[in-house]
Amino acid sequence: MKRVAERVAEHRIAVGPAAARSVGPLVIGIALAWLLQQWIAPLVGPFYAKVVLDIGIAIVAATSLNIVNGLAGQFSIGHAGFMMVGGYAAAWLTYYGSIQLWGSPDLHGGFLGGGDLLFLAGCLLAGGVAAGAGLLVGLPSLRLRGDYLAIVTLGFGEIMRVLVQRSGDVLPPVDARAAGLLGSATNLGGSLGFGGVPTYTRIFYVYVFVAIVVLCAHRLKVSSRGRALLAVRENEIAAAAVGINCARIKVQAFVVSALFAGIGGALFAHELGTTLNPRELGFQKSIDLVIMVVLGGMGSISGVVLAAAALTIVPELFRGFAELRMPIYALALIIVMIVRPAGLFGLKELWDTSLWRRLFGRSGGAPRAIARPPDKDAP
Amino acid sequence: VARRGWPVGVVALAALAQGCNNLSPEVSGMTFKDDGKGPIVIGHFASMTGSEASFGQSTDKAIRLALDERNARGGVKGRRIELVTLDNAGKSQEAGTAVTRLITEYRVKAVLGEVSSGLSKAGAAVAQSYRVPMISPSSTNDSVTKAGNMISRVCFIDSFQGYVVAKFARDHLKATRVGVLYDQQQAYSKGLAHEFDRAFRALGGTITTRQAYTGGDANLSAQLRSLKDTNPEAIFLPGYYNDAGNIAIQARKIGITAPLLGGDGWDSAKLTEIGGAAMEGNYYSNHYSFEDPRPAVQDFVRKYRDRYGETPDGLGALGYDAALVLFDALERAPSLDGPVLAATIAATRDFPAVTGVITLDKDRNPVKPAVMVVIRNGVPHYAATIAPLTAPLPEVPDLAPVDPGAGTGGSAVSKLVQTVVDTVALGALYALIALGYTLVYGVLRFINFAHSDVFTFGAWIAFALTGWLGFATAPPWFALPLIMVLAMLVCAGLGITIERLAYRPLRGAPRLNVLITAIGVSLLLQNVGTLSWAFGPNPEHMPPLVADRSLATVAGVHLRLVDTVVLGLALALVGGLQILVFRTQLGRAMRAVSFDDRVASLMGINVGRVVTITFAIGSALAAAGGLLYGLRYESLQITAHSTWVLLGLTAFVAAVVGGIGDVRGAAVGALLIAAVQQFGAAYLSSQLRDIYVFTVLIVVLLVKPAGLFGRPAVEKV
Repeated sequence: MKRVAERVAEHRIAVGPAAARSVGPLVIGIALAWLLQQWIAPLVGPFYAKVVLDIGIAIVAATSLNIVNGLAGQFSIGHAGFMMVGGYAAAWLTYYGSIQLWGSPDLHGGFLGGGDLLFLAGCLLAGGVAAGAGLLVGLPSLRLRGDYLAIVTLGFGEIMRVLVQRSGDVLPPVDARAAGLLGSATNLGGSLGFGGVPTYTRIFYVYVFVAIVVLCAHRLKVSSRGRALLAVRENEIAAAAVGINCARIKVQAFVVSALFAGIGGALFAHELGTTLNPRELGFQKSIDLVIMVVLGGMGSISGVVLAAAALTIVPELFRGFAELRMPIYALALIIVMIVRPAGLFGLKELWDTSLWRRLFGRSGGAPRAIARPPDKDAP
Repeated sequence: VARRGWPVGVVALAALAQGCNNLSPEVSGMTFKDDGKGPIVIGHFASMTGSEASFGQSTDKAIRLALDERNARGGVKGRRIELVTLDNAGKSQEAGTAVTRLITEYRVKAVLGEVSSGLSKAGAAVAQSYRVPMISPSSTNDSVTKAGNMISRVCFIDSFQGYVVAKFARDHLKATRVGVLYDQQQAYSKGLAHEFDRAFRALGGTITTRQAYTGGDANLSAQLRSLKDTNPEAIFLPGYYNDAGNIAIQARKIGITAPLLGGDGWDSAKLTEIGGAAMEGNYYSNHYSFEDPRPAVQDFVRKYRDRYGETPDGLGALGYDAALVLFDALERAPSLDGPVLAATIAATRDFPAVTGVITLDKDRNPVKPAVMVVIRNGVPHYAATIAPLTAPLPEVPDLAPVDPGAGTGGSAVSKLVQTVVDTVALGALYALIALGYTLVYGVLRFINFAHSDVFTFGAWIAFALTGWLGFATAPPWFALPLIMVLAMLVCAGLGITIERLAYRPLRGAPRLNVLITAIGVSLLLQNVGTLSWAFGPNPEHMPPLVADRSLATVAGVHLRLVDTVVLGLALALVGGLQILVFRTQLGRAMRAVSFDDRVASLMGINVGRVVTITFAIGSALAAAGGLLYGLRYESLQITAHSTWVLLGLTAFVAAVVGGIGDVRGAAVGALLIAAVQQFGAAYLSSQLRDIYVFTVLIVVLLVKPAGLFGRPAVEKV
């Protein structure tokens, strides 16, 4: 009898290690975010701290696009539209919520105090609302092929922009109290932008979300669902033939991607030194995100993170050459597409590249199974 | 291992809760004490690149002029002043970063900037949180200085400017009925329209209608007709100069004779260059007039001309004043610590500046008069000075800012006829662009996103050729066909080059790659086109190559020669294409490649050559479309302007709605989309025009994914 019990114990799925694998990196990520905020940021000074903050927001947004564009192969060029939806939802909650709760939209409470909790609630609301919008946009993708879908996403971004532009002025606290939280939902500042949003975005929160988004994207990539996404990306008919519900998985990718983009928008909305306005999160921003994903490598999590960081730093380094910035971006985009059609890293992660292996000997922990892009002409 | 993960997290969170309160600048304890030695550094953040580059550059030049003068006189407190200018490329996130960098890296004592109110607000939030004073030279939106006590400005604010124009219209023009046409995308335009609206009604006037457009859109016939139907005595047009010139031309063309009124956004040498004769006799409010005989003004104008060889605009005068006010405060301030300096700036009284005597009120906004200027012989002349308000205007209730085009005066028949004429002319243009998308899609099965930029280049190349060949004035009869053929040839070459260099290497690659490359090509063309050695960073006026004559009148509507030419040429080109595709050897080859390129290749068709020719034809059609667009609307926005993208997109939607890959479908779809836009704008609301288009697209795609004429594609494995 004892042998049976032993054998059962041997075959039981070990809950502990699995939980550690998923929670462990997140805990490390949170710890790193904390380190970044507590030690690194004061060390480098406020300007570099702001650059670090901008990089974090860019990573959240670009990684979210990487899920739908890189992994699922569904081309979205209205991704900033999801950021806009999320940003406005969160700004609405923190601004008008602060007024309802504390009488003014100023910062309230310290770390994880009332204001911060309201901000985090705003981020969650942003994710939820954007995910809903993602579902709406994703549904046509059941019927539409890649390039048509691109147009629909673009149309979505444009429609969102026009609608926000038509919203009323931001209400001052007295009027906002009278109007109530829901009554002020159409007062989002119109084309001037949503002014007076409390600036809760800090490095710590941004990098906690960076950790969550990057981990989710990575876990998604190495999961069976991620492989299904990649299969859809490579060949929808073949994917359907092996039993993947293509429609369902595409919509799922859209919803997850929009959710994280919405959070990115919420972080953007609450940053000190930005104004949340419809022009800022328009077509140009969508293109910036596409460039990050393409340069980083469609489907490569670490590649897109690197590209997001690099493309945020470059304008700071080369402010003098700004006139040629866009032509150079565009040329780089074309050349990368021709020379390395899958982006700089392709599907590979940073630690799968030959340079990394040469420098650091052995490779990291990425599962080998998907490290190599599928061989196109294989019989 | 798992057990160890959780405690780590708990410990980390506990540690976090203890000391995570720093780093928001309010509590970071960061202050920048002045050591009383060395040069005094001040910062300027501005849009030195991007679509508003001319604003930032104009301001920066004037600030440098003021700086060098001051330093030549020994600086401030015996110390030299140094200026650091950082570009924000017209983006608010970069504006915030630039101000952070100025304050924390360059340790500036004060910040100057910005022109755009949105960017000023982004920078103001940062300056306020670091307790560094900021002076905005020319952001007129009322909310800018509400960011806090560190923020002030030297220009008048929109609520005053709205009053100035209203007062001028009531007292000098004796107008009681004024129509408003504003840019719904620009906060500046929308806000100023609102302030004018309130002031004018408070002064006893009536607003006849409120119409909206989207900046850069050349097709405003529906809005202008609605305005004309209400028969206003003047029209308030609070947009920027690049739109105002074009709107003036169109307004005069449909017979609006009432004077047009504008705000300080009109202040540019380009205004009359674009608007030409149509701008004559129009008025706008400004911060100063270079004709103002006051010595301060004449002195500044002379010095600016000596140094830069051009006449300073209002933005330059304000940049100069902002610098003067700052230097004055630096000299007076007992210490250069932020709050002290800000209080000194706020206490500025009766300071003699170029744009008037500046006294800052309790909200740190200047109290000073504004001037109204009138355009005569292409030059703005001084018309009147409007003094600041002494008592507040009576309150008037806010009206809904939207007035649909429907329900106004004028004959219903003539409105219908006019809308039909507009629809047909616009539809013809859309058809020419849509055909390019459809041809390429038919053969290669991919959306050539760069097609709209070839169209843009077609319009600009035609403009450049008109200049080079000397057809800008009194063109001979052969000017139009000659330029059309040349532009079509150049663009065909452009199309072939794009195909060879960017698309051919990707033949057989996944569709996503080709799509992204197309976006790359599109971005490249847009941004190369705006470089100064290409077509330049300013909008232009397309000289008329066809005499502006009315051929006939139907129900009070003129059928103009231009519209007839546009329609005739478009029909001829579409008909020619139809014959080419269905009646010639080449057309048969194209259809064969479209049907199955491998089999076509086996049949001895040179697929590469067919693709090249397809691109050449599509690009040539786009060039013709671009030229006709320029002829009809007479204004060309810069190549990177979003209006071109939207135009291309609308044409693409037309191709998809008609059934992409089908020549007839493109033509029918183009007419349908043009009808939806024109009738929607004329009878529903002009503000939602783009929403109509995308709604039609989504509905058609959901109901009949292959479009009206398309056949459902069967995918083979």
